[in-house]
Amino acid sequence: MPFISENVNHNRVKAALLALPLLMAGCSFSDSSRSISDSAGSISDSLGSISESSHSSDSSKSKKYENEVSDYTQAYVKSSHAEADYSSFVKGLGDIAAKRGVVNWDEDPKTYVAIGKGLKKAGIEGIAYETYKKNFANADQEHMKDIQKGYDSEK
Amino acid sequence: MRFAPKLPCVGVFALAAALILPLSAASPATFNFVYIEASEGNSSGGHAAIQFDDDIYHYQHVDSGLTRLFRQEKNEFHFLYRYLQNRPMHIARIEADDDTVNRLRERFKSQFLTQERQFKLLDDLLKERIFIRHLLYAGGDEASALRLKGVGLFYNETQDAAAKSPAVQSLRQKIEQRYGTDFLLRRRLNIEAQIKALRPSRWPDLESVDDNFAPAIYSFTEHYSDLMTALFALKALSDAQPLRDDALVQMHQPNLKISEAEKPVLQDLRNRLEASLIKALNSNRPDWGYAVLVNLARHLAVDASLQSGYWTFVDDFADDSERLNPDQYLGHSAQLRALINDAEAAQNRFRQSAASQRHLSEAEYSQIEMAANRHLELLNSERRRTFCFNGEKALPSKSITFPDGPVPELTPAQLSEALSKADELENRLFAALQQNYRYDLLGRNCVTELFRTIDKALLKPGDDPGALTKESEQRLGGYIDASYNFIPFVAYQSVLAHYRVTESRDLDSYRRLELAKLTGLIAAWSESNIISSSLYWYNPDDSLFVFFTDDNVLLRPLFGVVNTGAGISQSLYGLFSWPWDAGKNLKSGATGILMSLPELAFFNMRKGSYKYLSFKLMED
Repeated sequence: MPFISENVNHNRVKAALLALPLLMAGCSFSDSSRSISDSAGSISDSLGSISESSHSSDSSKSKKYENEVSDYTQAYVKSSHAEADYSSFVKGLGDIAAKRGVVNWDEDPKTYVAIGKGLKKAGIEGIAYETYKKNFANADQEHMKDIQKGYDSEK
Repeated sequence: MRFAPKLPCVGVFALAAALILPLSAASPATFNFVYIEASEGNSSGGHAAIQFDDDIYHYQHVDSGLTRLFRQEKNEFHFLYRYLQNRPMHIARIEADDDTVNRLRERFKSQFLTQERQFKLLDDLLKERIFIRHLLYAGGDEASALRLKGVGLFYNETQDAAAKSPAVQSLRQKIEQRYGTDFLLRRRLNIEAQIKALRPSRWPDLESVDDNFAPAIYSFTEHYSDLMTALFALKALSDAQPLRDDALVQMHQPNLKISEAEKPVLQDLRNRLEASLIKALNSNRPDWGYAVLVNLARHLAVDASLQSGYWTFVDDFADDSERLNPDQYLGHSAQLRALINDAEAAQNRFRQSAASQRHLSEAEYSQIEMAANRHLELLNSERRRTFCFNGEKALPSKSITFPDGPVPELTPAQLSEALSKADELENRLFAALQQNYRYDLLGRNCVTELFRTIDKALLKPGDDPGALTKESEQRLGGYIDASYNFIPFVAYQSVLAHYRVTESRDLDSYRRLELAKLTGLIAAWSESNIISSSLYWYNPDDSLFVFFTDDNVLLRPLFGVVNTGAGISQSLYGLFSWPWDAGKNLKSGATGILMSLPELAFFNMRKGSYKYLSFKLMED
């Protein structure tokens, strides 16, 4: 038992010493001299271009994009209704695609497949689903097919 | 790296069974609790995070006085904390059933997305207030925060006309062939009419901020900004405006020469950018103006590449990128050379891939554009010039402030009413966010909020809060009370002691990894201080110190005395240099003293940090 009590005492001393700097400066601080919403991106901006060129295959980046679009769609439809103004939704998609360096995301089938997955994850069904599908696809038949494909692929 | 498995005794049969069982049966669901040791800088008390697969979630104190959840890719997080900040990291792998890990993952993800929306709403309200004030009183310092993204690629603040670009003239002809000769004019008149008819936003009720995703709003200011950007996109096409000189990055270097294999790839890309531009012009997506400007800029860069025979790119550094002067990076030439080599290698790799695949997608082109921009910018360091270091964007974003031009037709009374409403809502939302996310050194910090989010994930809506301890014990092996675990180090010990930890890892910081490769007393002594060290080059972001004490326990108090002396010296110097450096040295010296004092009691905090490390070091 002496080992345990020594260890506990050591931990207490270490905790007490760590409390000192915590009192002075606290834990991680994100400095954002720009707008409030930009602060989330500031870390990635600093590192993104360095790490971007070194790792991550194209397929993993595509997968990440699809996951982000799908999660975003799920969250959006849960807080909205089928007849809501879609401009803000579309702007959000643009922000996600911008991180990949893509501005023509509306021509990419992956975007619509991911939207379909998000609708399924949000539990949207029936008429509400059809309305969302039509609105998100801007009534484009190909995009609607892709949304359906994503919706059907999600368990 | 030290590895400390916490495994129950297993017999030979159990081990054999584990090896032949399918992966899903042999690998129960897990997540990681991450503890980062204290150091000088922005988290001197240490830091903590939670990891699900490649995503790491961590709370940070933002400058609005709130705590905010961030999500970062695993490799970026490790590079930032273990390499650049040079801190050892400790990871505890916690086993739980699928349902529990899914609940936790979904909870953190949902919290992250919810906060993103809430903070965007706050930012939108701030911009709305500034814009309405700008409309009411014309100008003001705050108005510089209102910017038209992408317009700065073609126009400066005074919108000076330039010689017409034949490439844009040619594009304009194709647009007119497709949509009619008066299309650009009709589109412009339509946009101007829309601007005049714009009305202030109808904001949602912001009485309380809860865990639900706030309703999305396409704000008055955002709408105006998109319409003005669209007007400039039309103007650039009508005027056949070329890219601004400083928006184009071109160097006729041998390594940037376009190969025969690359030519058809670039021609195909140019055609696709042209098609996308023409399509975007008639699109009803709200940000089509920005899409037109980016497609146009990249089209012109690719066209210039094909004309000159050398790769040419759009400058993708943001307006507020971090710029370094020669005096800031002098003495780091070897590290900067490594970064230059990395960027060049990445650029070559992406180019080779495009040539072999005979195709370049928009995302792939963006990767080449980023690597090339970074490469060319870093090369300026070898010419002793100021260069952009951080702030690169995956999409070009050069902007200008809101210019004079058409404005919504609103009376002063309407604007005043909208201003009052935006002001009130902004205050109300900020107060609500403060109530939920206010940073508190002891009660609400980066580690307490991790445990509180875990608690929320374990209880379903309507569950008895009293059942939390039992639920946590059942699902995670124990319960950790956030109130008593507000210090990251203590929290990590609690995780090891209470949760079902299957293994723990101690990951060394960059300097200690490198130090482990050296042997001998002479090497140990020369690496013990910043004067003779070959592994550390003084980073001005660190306060002045002489000895490293993280790897030398016995001599720590003695070294601490010298380091305290260095801190006092810098502070004294800072007293005199205050008029020139705005108190920077005094502040740094005071921090140095505070970081050195614990060393007198055998305790280390300062590790020394790095600014110019290569990401490849981590991969190697």
